[in-house]
Amino acid sequence: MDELRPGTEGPGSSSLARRALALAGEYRGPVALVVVLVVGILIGGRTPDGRPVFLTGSTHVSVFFEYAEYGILAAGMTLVILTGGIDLSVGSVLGLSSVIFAILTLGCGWSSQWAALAAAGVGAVCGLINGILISRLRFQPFVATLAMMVVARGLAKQVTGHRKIAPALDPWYHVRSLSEMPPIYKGMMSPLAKHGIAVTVLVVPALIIVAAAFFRYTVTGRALDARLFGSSPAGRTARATLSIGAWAIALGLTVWGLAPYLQPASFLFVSSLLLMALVVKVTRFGRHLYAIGGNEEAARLSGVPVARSKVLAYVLCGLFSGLAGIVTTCRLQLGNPEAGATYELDAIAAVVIGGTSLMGGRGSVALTLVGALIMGYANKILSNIQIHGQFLQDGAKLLAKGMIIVLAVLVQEARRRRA
Amino acid sequence: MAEEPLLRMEGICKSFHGVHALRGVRLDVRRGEVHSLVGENGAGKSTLMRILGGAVTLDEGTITLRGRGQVFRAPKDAEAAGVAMIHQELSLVPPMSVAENVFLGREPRTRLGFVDYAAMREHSEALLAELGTPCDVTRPAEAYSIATQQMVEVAKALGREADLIVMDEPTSALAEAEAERLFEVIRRLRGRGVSVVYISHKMEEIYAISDRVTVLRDGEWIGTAPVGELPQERLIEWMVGRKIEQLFPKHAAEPGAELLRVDGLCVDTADGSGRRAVDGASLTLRAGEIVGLAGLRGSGCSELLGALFGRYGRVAAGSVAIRGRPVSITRPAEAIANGIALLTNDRKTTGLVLSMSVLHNATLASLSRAGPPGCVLRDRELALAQPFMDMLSVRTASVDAEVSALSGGNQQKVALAKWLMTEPSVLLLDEPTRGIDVGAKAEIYELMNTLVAQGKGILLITSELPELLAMSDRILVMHRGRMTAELNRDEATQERIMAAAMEA
Ligand SMILES: Nc1ncnc2c1ncn2[C@@H]1O[C@H](COP(=O)(O)OP(=O)(O)OP(=O)(O)O)[C@@H](O)[C@H]1O
Ligand SMILES: [Mg+2]
Repeated sequence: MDELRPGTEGPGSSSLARRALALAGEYRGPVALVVVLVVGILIGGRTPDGRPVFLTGSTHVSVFFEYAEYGILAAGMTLVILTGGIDLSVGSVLGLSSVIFAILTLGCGWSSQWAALAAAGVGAVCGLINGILISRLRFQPFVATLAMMVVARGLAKQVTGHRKIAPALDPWYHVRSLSEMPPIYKGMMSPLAKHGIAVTVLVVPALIIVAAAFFRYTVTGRALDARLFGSSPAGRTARATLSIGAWAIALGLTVWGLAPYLQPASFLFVSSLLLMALVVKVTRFGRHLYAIGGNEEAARLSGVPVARSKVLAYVLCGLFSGLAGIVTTCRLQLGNPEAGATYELDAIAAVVIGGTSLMGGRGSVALTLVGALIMGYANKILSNIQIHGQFLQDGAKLLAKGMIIVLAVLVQEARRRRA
Repeated sequence: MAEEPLLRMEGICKSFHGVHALRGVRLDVRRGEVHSLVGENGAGKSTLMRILGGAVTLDEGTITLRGRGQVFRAPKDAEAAGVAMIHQELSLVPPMSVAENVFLGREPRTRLGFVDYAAMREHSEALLAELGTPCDVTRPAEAYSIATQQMVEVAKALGREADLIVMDEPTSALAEAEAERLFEVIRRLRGRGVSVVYISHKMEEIYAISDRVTVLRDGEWIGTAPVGELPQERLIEWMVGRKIEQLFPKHAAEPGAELLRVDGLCVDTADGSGRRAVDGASLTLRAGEIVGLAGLRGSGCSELLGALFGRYGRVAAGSVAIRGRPVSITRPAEAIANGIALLTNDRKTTGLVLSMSVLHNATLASLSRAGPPGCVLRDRELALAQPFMDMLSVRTASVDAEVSALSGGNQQKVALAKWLMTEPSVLLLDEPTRGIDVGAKAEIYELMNTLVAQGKGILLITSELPELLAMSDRILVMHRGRMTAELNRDEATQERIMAAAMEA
């Protein structure tokens, strides 16, 4: 059942090339990412000693770091877009939670854990309100979240009195100087560990990925898999345990190996997306999102809790906005009520470039990770390029970014139209 | 040699992702002929017609229209060549008015270049009146039932004044009387020299309307013959490749305990007019029983099933009991938990999530059993779905294919699989064999027998009276939301049903 009927295989000789092409077509996102990376190596600038900067580790580290907030926002945005909705308020909610985190830590002297919880909670409440407006009161997602976008920004300005939140802003502020700032402000932005084992441990996760692909996609691997584990319940359990164990080791070693290089902000970015990718793939909630986005009435008639799933999607989206707000506060070392303006557009762009349909029902969070990286690397290239010894100006960068979005979506659409 | 046919398609091949849908198929249609195209689900009928309509490009083969070779790259090419299409799945724009839908893409203009709404209204009214479905053409298409929408679809094709009209299962959503009116129109068209390619799974229709028949099986041409020279048994044998002993197998099951009791159920119409779509309906359904529901369009049969399933929230009045225990079902999820399943009559808008895969559609209503709490495991899903895929012999390249890529009949089977998987005790089946081929129909009726033999109860709506008569233990007739007759198996006849359905 899982395989094609006989007579579906092409003639032997040219079929390898054709299959490679078909595979490339299937994985346009990753292929595009590779193209962007190659372009980066070619024209993305050079270090003083003449090596392409795209071949230095620090470039990649900085892409993840600089794109962190957008990536975190895009994780929640994907869930909402899968249901056929949209959340325009993420940028403003980021701003609101950012200033709340700053006021609580710098002003009220809360410990950073509680302040973070409160800031994330504020984001989640904004999402909850969006979700209720949309699923219970039948607002259009665009309208409801547009209102929230305005309200959250207004609130952020109101609670700060239109000022940036910094130490000793008001007489009652607990934190009186930069040196008294809670450790999270510095910690979020500096590498996870001072010393770590060498990056070479990453070879192990890489091997695990190769092995997984071998078992999943090659004929020999599948046969071996069947021979080793069979299809008995015991065999299945063994296989599941083994593969979960292998992935856990891979994940652990990756974190360990990268700890001396990557900042918590970057980890939040990647782990938000990976976690949501997992949630969407293996939970009923994830399946419900697809069903709702594909055909809400058919989903309802199949017993899908439509309202509850939608509310949860918006709550998660709000929660991620809150998290991103905390990251922003640490990045700026202050709470700016204007923070996050137009971030929603970057988040939506990452989702769409990944290939998730704005109509809902099609796409995935894993694709969004790819989309976010394409955007992040493209930004990096644009800020590294020099023409006649001059860096690009903002206007030219925006133009180029716009064209990248159009191009990426055209590529995705071509796939759909061909199908 | 006889006169050159209007249309000749030869050696047509088409494959999707390496799966052959058509292999060297041919078809010729004469002027002023009604040519039926028949075959099992997935035989390739719609694909062949979509090639003719320019919606799908062919891999190999030739199309000759009026003696001239043609290459259709887009639907507008075919339209310009005088070919009009009624697709299997409704293709109206729901929020646009009926008139706008009829003239979609070829709106009449006033002298100033604006859309001439008056002319549009007038023409579409005339077309719909000709079809015997007068309606307010200024209202949005979605305000009307599927049957009316289907007629709008027909009017749209007629309005193109084509000399070849393709009708892909136009009657699958029509009641008998409406289908009869469509046939009159087809005969009139034939009189005017217009040719019609007619696709249907209903044998009586094929014999009533067509001049010649072409049979496809598994993407291959099996034969073409004048309908008079092809007795039904032969035709079916051509279609399914074997003999079918009994079209409507019916085993009398011994009715058991009462499963469902409905008393004075009332449902308001959705338009807020305060009228009742169902007005005081009462019925009982016992284990092992198939109870048929009959009624014309607007009789409230479908709404009754929907209300039992919690589709419209709280009902206006009345009570429902399952196995003697009163229940109040206000959401589909509660209905499913109570062992009720509803197969809706429109798989595209309410039955399936077309953007999801076959597997994911099939398990959508049973996800709670597809893994540990809150989770879905692929292995478990496959194990759940596989028996039903096999039992219904769903024809698909892979269970991971998008369900929209399946032929209409196979989509219907996926919808059915979804409900059988929930292990319901009461099945509400609204047109379960809509668009399903003869062979599979017999299988589905056989399956219904098995289900009732296991002690389940079935409420059945079907617009095909012979099926209703053959399969039902009892038949309830509705008219304008009220029950007007209850007929036992031995006293039910087409005439008595129609009489009860027409007047209260
Ligand atoms: N867009 C598509 N992508 C992939 N496969 C397709 C696509 N369209 C059709 N097919 C396949 O081609 C075959 C023929 O389908 P088609 O819709 O022509 O059948 P049909 O004879 O009209 O059946 P039915 O009576 O059920 O409507 C099926 O196996 C179907 O799965
Ligand atoms: Mg078809």
